[in-house]
Amino acid sequence: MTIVPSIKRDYLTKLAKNGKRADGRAFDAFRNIEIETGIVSKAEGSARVKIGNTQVLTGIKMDVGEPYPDTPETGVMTTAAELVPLASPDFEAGPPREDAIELARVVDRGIRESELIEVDKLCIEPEEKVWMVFIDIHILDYDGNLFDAASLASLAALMTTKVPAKRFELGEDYPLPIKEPPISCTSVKFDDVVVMDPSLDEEQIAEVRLTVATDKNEDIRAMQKGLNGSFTRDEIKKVIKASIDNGKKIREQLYKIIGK
Amino acid sequence: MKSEIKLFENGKRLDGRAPDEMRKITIKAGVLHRAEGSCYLEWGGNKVIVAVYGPREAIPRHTQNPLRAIVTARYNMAAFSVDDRKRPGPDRRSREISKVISEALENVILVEKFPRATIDVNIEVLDAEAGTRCAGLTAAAVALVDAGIPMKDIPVACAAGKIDNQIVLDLGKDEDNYGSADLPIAISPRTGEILLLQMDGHLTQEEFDKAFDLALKGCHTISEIQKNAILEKYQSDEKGGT
Amino acid sequence: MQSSLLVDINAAYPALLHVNEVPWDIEFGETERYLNKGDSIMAKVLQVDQEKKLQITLKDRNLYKIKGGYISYVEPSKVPRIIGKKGSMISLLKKYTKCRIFVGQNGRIWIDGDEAGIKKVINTIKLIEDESLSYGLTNKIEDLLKKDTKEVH
Repeated sequence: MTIVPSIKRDYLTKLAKNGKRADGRAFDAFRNIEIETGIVSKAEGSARVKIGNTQVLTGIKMDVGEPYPDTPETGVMTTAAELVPLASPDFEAGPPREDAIELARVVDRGIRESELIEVDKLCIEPEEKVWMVFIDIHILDYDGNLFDAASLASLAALMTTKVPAKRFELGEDYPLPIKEPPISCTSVKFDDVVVMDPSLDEEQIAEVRLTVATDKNEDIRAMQKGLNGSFTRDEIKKVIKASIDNGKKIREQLYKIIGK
Repeated sequence: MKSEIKLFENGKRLDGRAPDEMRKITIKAGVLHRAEGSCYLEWGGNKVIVAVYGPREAIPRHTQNPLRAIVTARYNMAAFSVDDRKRPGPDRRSREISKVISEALENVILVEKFPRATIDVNIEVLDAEAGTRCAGLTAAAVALVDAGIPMKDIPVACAAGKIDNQIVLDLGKDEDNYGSADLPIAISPRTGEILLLQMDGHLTQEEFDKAFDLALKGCHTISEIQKNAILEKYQSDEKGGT
Repeated sequence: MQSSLLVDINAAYPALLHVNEVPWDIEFGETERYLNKGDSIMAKVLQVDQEKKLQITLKDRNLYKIKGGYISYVEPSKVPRIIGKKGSMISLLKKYTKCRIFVGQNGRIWIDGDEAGIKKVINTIKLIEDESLSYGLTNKIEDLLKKDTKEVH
């Protein structure tokens, strides 16, 4: 594990007390976001997102399988994340550890709770066959804020996914039925200062983290607090507001790329 | 695997290529921020990204070699990179490929300069279309140069094979599955030494020679592309920023 | 009891700092009073053996524990460019930013000064690193620094 030099911690904290961040951003500003879709030809949908230098590639694969017994006419969705060693000197090879599991589950909840994928339209034969959607998040470059990059890449990939009906002899390929995307915004706190879209340095000295996913009606669809620090009620309110504001901007950018 | 399709007809392959024609290859060096060296490569439908970390102290201690660095290449396919989703995690095929690539790279890296250290080469296949191990090794070589790891030479890999009794260069999709032989090789272009060699299928000795020569030629062509990718990176550094 | 500390010096391995190589008289179990995890130091390489085991020392008049400021990272190969011929580049930086700047051969640079000065040094170093291969860089940097500064130290 990389140790953060106390000089760096002191430097960032001093800047923050004067209302500044090391890269000159406002406390509630995101780094530059780039979204590219249709990257992987073998995948039914794919997207690569860059937030600053953080890079995530999500691929969507679909298959036909059995539904869950309690929802016999509903499609199945699963999300997995791979923090491959390629992305950071601190990522080790091996089965997913807690951070990869948490990342996958938080992204999953944002998508599931907002009902982005119309899973009741994914039934082929009740109780026998439904479409399964596999969301696989592949981290390529870790420079802070994997939650938002992974979430955005997954959204962009899903929104450009084609159901491979032809391959399974179930008709012609068609776009995956989806509704409105939730946008996730993550903030961290260090030394009583709360910043949004943490850079790697800010994340390394963070005491606590909060991810908020909001929809286009400014409703909250998912939240996750992480790390062992704490937030005050007030801080949470401010984070929610900033998440909604940034959510709007990012949603616009997403729609532009998708071509809505 | 047998197939009803003709893989080779009227001098042309399924994708229109001539028997000694390679798929299109593009290489870009220095594409990742955290990695010490990196490379992104596209070869036909293959998309591979490689990151190099090290030399750094080998941990756990018992893996250290007091005389030289250990080179660990990790070949991994993303779940979405193939037709039928691949479960994440190394399967036996990936582990074997990781091993043969590590051994090829160990040959050219000046490992005695870094006792007790490890050099980690992470190869991620993002989109797969036959020949991923050659793509992986070729990209790894460029990433190692980008990381400034001292090497005797820049290794390069290419495969040849047999389809419908015709020896061809650089097997593509379907040719890989339905062909009758696959021969990937990796060489040190300066000396011509073979660093990686695998073969499966059925080849007469004559066919083997033909295939080998073709693959060798392919390697040298790709070697030029590798070198250009590296030059390009340094030229852009000169102009002021990447 | 710890008889030595492991220090990250941006090499292929951590370096060893033995308790005999620090300038303080450390009592048994009192290391934490002087050096802790996360601290940064200005040190010198004492020796390197056959197995590349590295030892460093703090026993020298110019070596000490660093307090305050900011540590920037560049590729070690760019260090000569940052120092410049006979120190020409680094003197420019110090003059126009009024910062204390110490360049390590390992590519780590300690900058101490006011916030604006530190920011200027960080940006200038990045520029030198990006354009290290071009000609007339020293003059270009001088012009850029001059433009930004009202007074000269």
